[in-house]
Amino acid sequence: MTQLEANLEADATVRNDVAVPRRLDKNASGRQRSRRARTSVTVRVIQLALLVALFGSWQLLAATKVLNPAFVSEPSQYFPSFWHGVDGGGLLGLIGTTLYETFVGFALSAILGLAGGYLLAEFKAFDVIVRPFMTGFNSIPRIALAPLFVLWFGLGSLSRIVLIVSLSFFIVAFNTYAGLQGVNRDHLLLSRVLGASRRERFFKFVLPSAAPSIFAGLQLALTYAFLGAVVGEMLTGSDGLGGYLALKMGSFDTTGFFGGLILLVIVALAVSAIVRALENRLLRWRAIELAGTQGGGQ
Amino acid sequence: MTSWGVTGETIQGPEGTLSTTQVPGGGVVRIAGVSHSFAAPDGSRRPVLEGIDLEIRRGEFVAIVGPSGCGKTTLLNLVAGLVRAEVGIVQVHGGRPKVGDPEVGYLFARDALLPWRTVLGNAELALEIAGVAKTERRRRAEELLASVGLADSANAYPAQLSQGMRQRVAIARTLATRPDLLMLDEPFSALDAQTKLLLQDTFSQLWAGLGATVVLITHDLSEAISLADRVVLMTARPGRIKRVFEVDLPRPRSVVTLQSEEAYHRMYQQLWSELSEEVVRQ
Repeated sequence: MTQLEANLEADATVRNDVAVPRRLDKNASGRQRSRRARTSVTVRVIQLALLVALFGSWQLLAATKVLNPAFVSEPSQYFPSFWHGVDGGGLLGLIGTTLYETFVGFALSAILGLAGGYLLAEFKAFDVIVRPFMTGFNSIPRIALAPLFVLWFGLGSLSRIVLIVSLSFFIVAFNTYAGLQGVNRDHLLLSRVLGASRRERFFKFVLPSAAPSIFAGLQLALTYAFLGAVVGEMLTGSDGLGGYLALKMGSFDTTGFFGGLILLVIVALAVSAIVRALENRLLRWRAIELAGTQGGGQ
Repeated sequence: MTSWGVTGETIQGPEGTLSTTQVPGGGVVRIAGVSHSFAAPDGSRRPVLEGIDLEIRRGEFVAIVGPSGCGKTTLLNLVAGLVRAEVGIVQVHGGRPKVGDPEVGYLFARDALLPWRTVLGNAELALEIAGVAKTERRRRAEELLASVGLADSANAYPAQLSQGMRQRVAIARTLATRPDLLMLDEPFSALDAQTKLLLQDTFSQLWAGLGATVVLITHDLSEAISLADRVVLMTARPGRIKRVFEVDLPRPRSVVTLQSEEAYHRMYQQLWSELSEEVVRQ
């Protein structure tokens, strides 16, 4: 047994030469953390400078009439317009409608897409028969179908939700399919020799390995859901943030348009930050793996 | 003094005369008259194994060596029940080999660790599938991780480990179900030379405490000699048993200290001279 211990110790010294496990060392990670914090402050400062430069030059070009303010408005006008819209101007109610359509459409796409991807991956016959239809439908520019959806489902939220599902369903389905297909062969062999049941194979081996791909699909589907909601609203010009933007554009109110756009950008950024935080939580192993293959710290 | 059966009974004749040898203690693995072939691209059958007879005793450590493509892995797959023999009989524990038998453990060259599970989660995997209760499987997995020197890394993810540590986790996963037959398919071949030596010794010592029967497929002659009780040398494709060597070196052995043993080097020479004929023949 003492020899075994000596062995283990020797292996432990060997592994100190390996770059990756350094991250298990608490002191090193503390040092890395403070370096990372410094880096992140620097990054933020640069990003802020870029923002100031963007809006500053925009303001300058508009104020000096190099760019026509009737076409591009100017930050000193549209920021107050944005604030006015949020503060009692009804913008929040409008974004509420847009978000409602986005999330209902996204949720339906996610459920149907996961089921569809599973059926494609698991049942060969389903794949062979149905996939050409899916590929065909997916190649239609769905935005062109939006007027048709309005005709069928009316001017309300339903037509937008249908538009979103027509966009996002395929993204989720194909990503789920690809993820479920891409299982490591060694893992499948392991599941066989360990005597895993069909159910265990799916839940312990196949599904977790597909998770990053499925998650990427859901993320993209959410972006498309938001896009579908806004574009759908712009087409009917009736409701939501898209309706607001279409109205402002129709009345040549570029200031109001950019004001609405600011809210759109803020909401989109917030949603993607939430999704990213969720991903880091659920797929921590993936982040560690990617950091490892890039040879650097996390 | 250790003896490397240069004369007498210990070296079996060519073409697997072992078939007639009835081994005491009963065979855990019995292979009799097994031949197997694969479909070639042109539609013909290409023989990979021919007339294999081999009986492996309880608690015995058998290494199978041979040139690449001699059907070593096919032989292991037959015993694992992953492939059915075309001709002949393969028995494990007196019955037809069945895939997923919890009595049988596997270790491959690639560790097949699940990257989304922690070290502990991976070590528990086989127990989980075997239906062992949660607290019991945690206890056993932790115990095994400690015995392979990974107690401190239980919560790390595989991506945070070196190759040698990863293979240690795979060893823990394999031994956790306490299999009494272990099938090792070049388990150390993906490791660097130093890590390999350490892991061979670790495995050898763990095995000594288990009493499991082991079938080891390897390219590495020094690995075969230092770990096994018997080394089965196979011919070039189609694989037949060319010779069976008994390794009489005393245990416990260490791969490293064996390097200074003269008997070890004699065996190595002899094994290599027989094997090299086959490698050249290919």
